[in-house]
Amino acid sequence: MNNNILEIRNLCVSYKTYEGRLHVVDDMNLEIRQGEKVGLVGETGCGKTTTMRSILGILPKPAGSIDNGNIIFGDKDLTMLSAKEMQCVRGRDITAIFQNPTAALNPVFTIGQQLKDVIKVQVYRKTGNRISNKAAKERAVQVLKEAALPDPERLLSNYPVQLSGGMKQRVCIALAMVSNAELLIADEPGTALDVTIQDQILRLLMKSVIKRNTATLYIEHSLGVIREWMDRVYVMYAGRTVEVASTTDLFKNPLHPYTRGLLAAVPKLTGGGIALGIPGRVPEYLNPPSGCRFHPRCEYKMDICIKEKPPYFEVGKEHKVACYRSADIERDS
Amino acid sequence: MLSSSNTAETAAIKENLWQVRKDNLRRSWYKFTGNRLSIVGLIIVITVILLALFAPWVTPYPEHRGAFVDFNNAMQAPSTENLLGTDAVGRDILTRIIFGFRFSLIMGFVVIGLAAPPGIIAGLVAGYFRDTWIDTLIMRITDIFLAVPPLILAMAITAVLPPNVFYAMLAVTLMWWPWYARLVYGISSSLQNEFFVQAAQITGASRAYIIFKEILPNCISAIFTKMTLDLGIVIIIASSLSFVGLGAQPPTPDLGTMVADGAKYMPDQWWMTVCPALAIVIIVLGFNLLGDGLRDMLAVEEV
Amino acid sequence: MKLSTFIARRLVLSLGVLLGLSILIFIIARVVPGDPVRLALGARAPQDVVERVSAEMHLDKPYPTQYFIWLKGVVQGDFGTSLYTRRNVSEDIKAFLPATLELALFAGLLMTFFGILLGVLSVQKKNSWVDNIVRMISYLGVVTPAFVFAILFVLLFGYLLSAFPVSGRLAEGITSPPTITGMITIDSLMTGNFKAFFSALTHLFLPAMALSMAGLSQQARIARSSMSDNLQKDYILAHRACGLPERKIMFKYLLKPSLIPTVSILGLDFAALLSNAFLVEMVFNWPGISRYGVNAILTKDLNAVAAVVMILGITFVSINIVVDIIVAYLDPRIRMRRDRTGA
Repeated sequence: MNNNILEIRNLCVSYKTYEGRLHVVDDMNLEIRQGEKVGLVGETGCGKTTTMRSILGILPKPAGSIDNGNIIFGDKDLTMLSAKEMQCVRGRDITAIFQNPTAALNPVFTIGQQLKDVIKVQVYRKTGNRISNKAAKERAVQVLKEAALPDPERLLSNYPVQLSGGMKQRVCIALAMVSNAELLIADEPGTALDVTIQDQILRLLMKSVIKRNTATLYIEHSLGVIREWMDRVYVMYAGRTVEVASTTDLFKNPLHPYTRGLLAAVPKLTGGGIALGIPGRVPEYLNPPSGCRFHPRCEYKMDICIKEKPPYFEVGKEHKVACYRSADIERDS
Repeated sequence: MLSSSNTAETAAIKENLWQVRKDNLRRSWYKFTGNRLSIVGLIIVITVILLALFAPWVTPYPEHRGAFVDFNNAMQAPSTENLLGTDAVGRDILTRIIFGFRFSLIMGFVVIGLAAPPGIIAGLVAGYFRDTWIDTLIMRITDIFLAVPPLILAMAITAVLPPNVFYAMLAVTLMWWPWYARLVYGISSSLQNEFFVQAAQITGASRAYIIFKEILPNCISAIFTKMTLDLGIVIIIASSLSFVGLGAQPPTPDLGTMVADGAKYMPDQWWMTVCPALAIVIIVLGFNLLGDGLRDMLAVEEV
Repeated sequence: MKLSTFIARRLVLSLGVLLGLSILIFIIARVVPGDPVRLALGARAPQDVVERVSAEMHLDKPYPTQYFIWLKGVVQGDFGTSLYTRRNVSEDIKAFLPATLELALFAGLLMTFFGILLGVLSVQKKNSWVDNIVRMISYLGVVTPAFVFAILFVLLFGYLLSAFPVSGRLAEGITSPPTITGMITIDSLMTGNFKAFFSALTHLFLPAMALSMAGLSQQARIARSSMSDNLQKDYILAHRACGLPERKIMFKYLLKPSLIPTVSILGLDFAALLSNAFLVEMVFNWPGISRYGVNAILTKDLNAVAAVVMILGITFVSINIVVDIIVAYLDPRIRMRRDRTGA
């Protein structure tokens, strides 16, 4: 039975640049079920943001393009929708929170103006009614309160520049919560904030998401957050999801060489030595490595890894790995 | 200081730097040539400069550039003998236009060459001593000069001096330096908080060193772009001044005076005014296109 | 800080700048090689006449005294006597200033409205043929001096097509309306004289068009580039992600921040209008203060020159203040920072 709210199948996205075409996302696969909290882990530059933009349909034009694959949301294929249809999906069915709250809020408009406009549009799209300014204002105050912001009435007439980073991110969360969407995509929402604030914001976000049973795609490069909150985790490398498992399984039994390297790189408080890194560098996307994109850095490399992209091997309940040698690795650990 | 014992290493580093610089140049050139309009600008500018340099040898009637009369041939429409026609006293317009280019270019280079250095230094100093009385003093002075459009003050200066091209140039120069001061001040003061400046200060570099070796190179591309664009603007201002009689006086071949002289004979002998007018447009267009291309090219480097 | 504090600070600063300008002008006007009175009266004027006029103009007193006498006069609106027209310079100014202001205002309206409109159009249909034509026109507008436009317009619309008049402010035979503001278009509207209004408008059109071309082009280019830059900004992405309709994003959320650089340049462009007015006034025989000023320069009428520069300086400074206020309103970030006029 398929109660997937989002399914990404064989997605390929590239950017046209001065030097050539960058094949950033290559055969990406991902599934999210209703109400599920899914994490997407990967280092900077692996294509997480590109994926997010592809889902939302906000790839920079004309440089970015979806070359192949499908993004199925509910019963629609988002890659097939027109710009106008996509516009309706955004904000109503899928919402997003971005990394940098300062950049995500328009600096020359007050918080109130931006909130009210979004509220009016979303209410109209959902119910077909146009609500009054006053009603929009009330809803705005309500959403700000839910985001645990003090003195919401006064906040409405403030400009983003008057708010701290944490407060701005709460406003962004409030904006995302306006229409009770089915899917929320959060792109490293804590990165631009202090660690203590990060924690607060995260708790707020998780609370809101759990309360409304919103499916969440949480994009992160830090593993700690993932471990604490997510149901399932996808590991992404160089434009492809290479491993997926439930959170406990992934941390207990990582099978892809990259995942293992990633986990080993986190310094532990309980003894051990200096954390190991992964030798080599992230591939460049102009001429990506053939076959499995990780092979230049992999200690388990075989000939076939260079020639052919590995398919997904099922190695457990909900646990899939894109590696030819997963069995050997399991044996070794 | 670092020991110079490992000269082979230093040589290798230098070689690498040289390689990087060559690469950068090649990439810049590639970026520049990518924009067709910039190439057009470059071609126009080079053509004009060459024509101006070799004017006495490439023009059909070089003796027409000064005081020359030939009333039999006056006010002739464009023909095979006079490609752009002749003016009211019989001089070949094409020749005078080319000499007019020479004139405009000299004006431009002189004005910018004289105005830029003091402006740049003022801006560097004011930016370095940001938030002190030096800064305030220099910036207030530039504010006064910038309060009024340069043309108006230039005209006021020409009021007190006999109208000729030298004084007109002087007037424009005096009006021009504050713009460079402001441009450099903006860059220089924003760099004060950068770590490399503070690092230089900590390691004991002298103020002059920091200003000229650390800060100035960051301004070079902006200055250079501005200079190219300014050449066009100065030519416009110079020709405007001559148009009303405040700049070059007859019989000097200046494009502005030629337009003014020719305007009296509109509309019948339209070429007498239209040709020098279009010449002005072409030369300024060239510098503008070139300047824009430079700006696009150099901006990429700043990433 | 509040908007009112911001305005107050700007006013005080501008006053200081104007004071400095007056000193500068005074220095220029007095540092003349030769005797200005003799230059104006001619070599053949008798010595006692020259001395009398010199005494009248206080030229025998020490410079600082001269400055204060002059400054006192300026503040009271008295700029001395014109050596050329022999009447009070302030009367000349009252006679000629409105004409230039009318020209500049009309040109300013044309420039702002069409400039921004073209810029927005250009960005909407980026890289289409509309965009390319607009870019070409705006390029030519920037590289062509105002007098070239003036001459070309005269040839094209005045002679070739005979669509518009090329000289003066009103057609012959039409009586000008009573002077309320000095601007014929406004005065004739206010007194209901539509014939005069129409005539004044057609006379105004060509010179204003020629004058506005440079500013129009600048506005179009800046509007286009600033909108194009802001399109890449993250908040536009965020607006889209929230589902705001594209139309609203374009015309509200993109336009307002993009207008900030255009409005800032507006001040400079208006200054360009004022300073280039003389070119257009000369070609179209427009009785304005710039033409008066050029005449004053050619005849070495120093009182008049100083007066014209001060008047233009005050006008320009006022325009800048208004522009700064508008920009501060548009961009709240500026109000929050320390006021730095050099930055």
